[in-house]
Amino acid sequence: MELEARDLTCGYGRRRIVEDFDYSFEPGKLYIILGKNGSGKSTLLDTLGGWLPPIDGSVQFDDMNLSHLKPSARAACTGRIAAGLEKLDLRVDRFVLLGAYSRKKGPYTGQDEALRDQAMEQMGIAHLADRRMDEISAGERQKAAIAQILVQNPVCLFLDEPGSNLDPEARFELMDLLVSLRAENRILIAVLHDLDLALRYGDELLVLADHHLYFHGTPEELIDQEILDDVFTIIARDYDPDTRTARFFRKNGQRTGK
Amino acid sequence: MDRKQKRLLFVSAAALLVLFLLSLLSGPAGLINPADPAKRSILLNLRLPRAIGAILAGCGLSLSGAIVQKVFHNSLASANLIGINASVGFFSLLAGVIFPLSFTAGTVFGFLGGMLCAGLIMALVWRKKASRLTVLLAGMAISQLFSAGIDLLTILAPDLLSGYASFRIGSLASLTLSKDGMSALLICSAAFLTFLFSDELELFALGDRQAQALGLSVRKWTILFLALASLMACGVVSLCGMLGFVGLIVPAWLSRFGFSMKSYLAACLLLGAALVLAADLAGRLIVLPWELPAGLILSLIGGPYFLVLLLERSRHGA
Repeated sequence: MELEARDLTCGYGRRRIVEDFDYSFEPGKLYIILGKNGSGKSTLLDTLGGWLPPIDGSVQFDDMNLSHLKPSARAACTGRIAAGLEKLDLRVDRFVLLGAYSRKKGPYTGQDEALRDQAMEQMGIAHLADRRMDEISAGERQKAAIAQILVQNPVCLFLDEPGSNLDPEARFELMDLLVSLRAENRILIAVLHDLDLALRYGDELLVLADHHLYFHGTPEELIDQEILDDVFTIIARDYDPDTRTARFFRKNGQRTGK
Repeated sequence: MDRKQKRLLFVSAAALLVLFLLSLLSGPAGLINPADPAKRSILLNLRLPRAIGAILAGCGLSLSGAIVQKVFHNSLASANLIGINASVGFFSLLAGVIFPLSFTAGTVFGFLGGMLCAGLIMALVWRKKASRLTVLLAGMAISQLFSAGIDLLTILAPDLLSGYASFRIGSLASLTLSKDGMSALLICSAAFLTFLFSDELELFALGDRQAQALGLSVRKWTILFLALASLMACGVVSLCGMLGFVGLIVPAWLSRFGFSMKSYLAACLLLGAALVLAADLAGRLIVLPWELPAGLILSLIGGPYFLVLLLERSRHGA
């Protein structure tokens, strides 16, 4: 059960945004994709999920070509944690139930509802069932989105910029939740802006630069090879391998920490 | 459903019933006592077809508007505003010129015209990643183009199209039960399918990418829903011309109540029908013994409300 990108080139129409991407994602790990704005992180994410057809190459899951699968069959392999739900006027319990869409024939069943209740319980949002998505906090919406994908139950979970609008505590809570999902033998792939969270939580980091996969490896290797300096012109000092934290400084900026 | 939503549904249903009875009983010929056999033919041949036509038009317009708003994630859109109605109108008139005696030709041409317009808008959204505003502007351009086409046809073939004087404004005068029947077939079957597929329509609210990730074939369903909207627009246009604004204001106003999808669609049907009935009734009674077309009344209400919606949105920065 691997998600495998072979000679992948992705983009829109003739615009090639990421080229020659070759990589295998294994279960039980949290992969974090880093890169500057406009480096193609989200495009790559959509292509890896099988939702945006690749310009060249393929994405295979269990030897199935994702972009050839029917959407309902694909939903068992890859899923996406919903974002941009601030204005959604659906009830929370209904929103979570939609995770069962790909399996249903006819109306949603009692079994779907049982799965929904279980997922909402697990995320600690059972008490919000009859509230509307646009009435609850950003952190609660994020949990509802995770509950939805738990109902869908795909092997690979994708997240685009999770937590960018969360307050600090909710961010850590979210990352802890994600890490706990690894245990169920899932593949987790997230696009993240926050270097600090990426170092702390990522098992494997992938850095995109100049339309290519510039680096992949553990947080320690990222620090050792001074990748942050090359790509972001950021310097990491005093890396502590136990807590996987470092102090970041802008290269040649003021407050360089010297 | 919470109490506010239940009350809204109930009030709409009651209003619809009252308006239906009122439009049967009152009009230029005065109040009619249904027991009076002499006046019964007015009731059965003039007012009943007209009231039924108004209900059908209201249902078709508001439901097609609801579909277009959901599919394009745009509460300022409607089948009318993105040009579907004008396109349906032009092509059904064109069929009227080419095949003057065939009602079916008008319907088929009208439907294809609606799909043509829907296809143009879809291409704009998918290929060019057009914003909501671009979609509306493009729809307006298409609308203008086909409206000009309608004018051209009425100038070139005035004899064949003599019955179309109020086509552009939209009017419910001179309906018959058999005309109602044809449109009812189109509108009711499309409405039935819309309810049947309400779970699919609901998924569009999460955004195209998320709907796709949850297992929806977004393109297939977009095409299907726009076909349903075109079918309904087609039924409405052949009934009463290009009645405006119902398809915009009813679904847009109802979307602020947080209905579940099925209740939302039901509310659209009830309120849309009530609004068209009310507009037609008002048009018949305001300037007795003359008659204002329902489309005129609706534009007088709908235009200002559209402005309010626009201002509300710009305040929220959307």
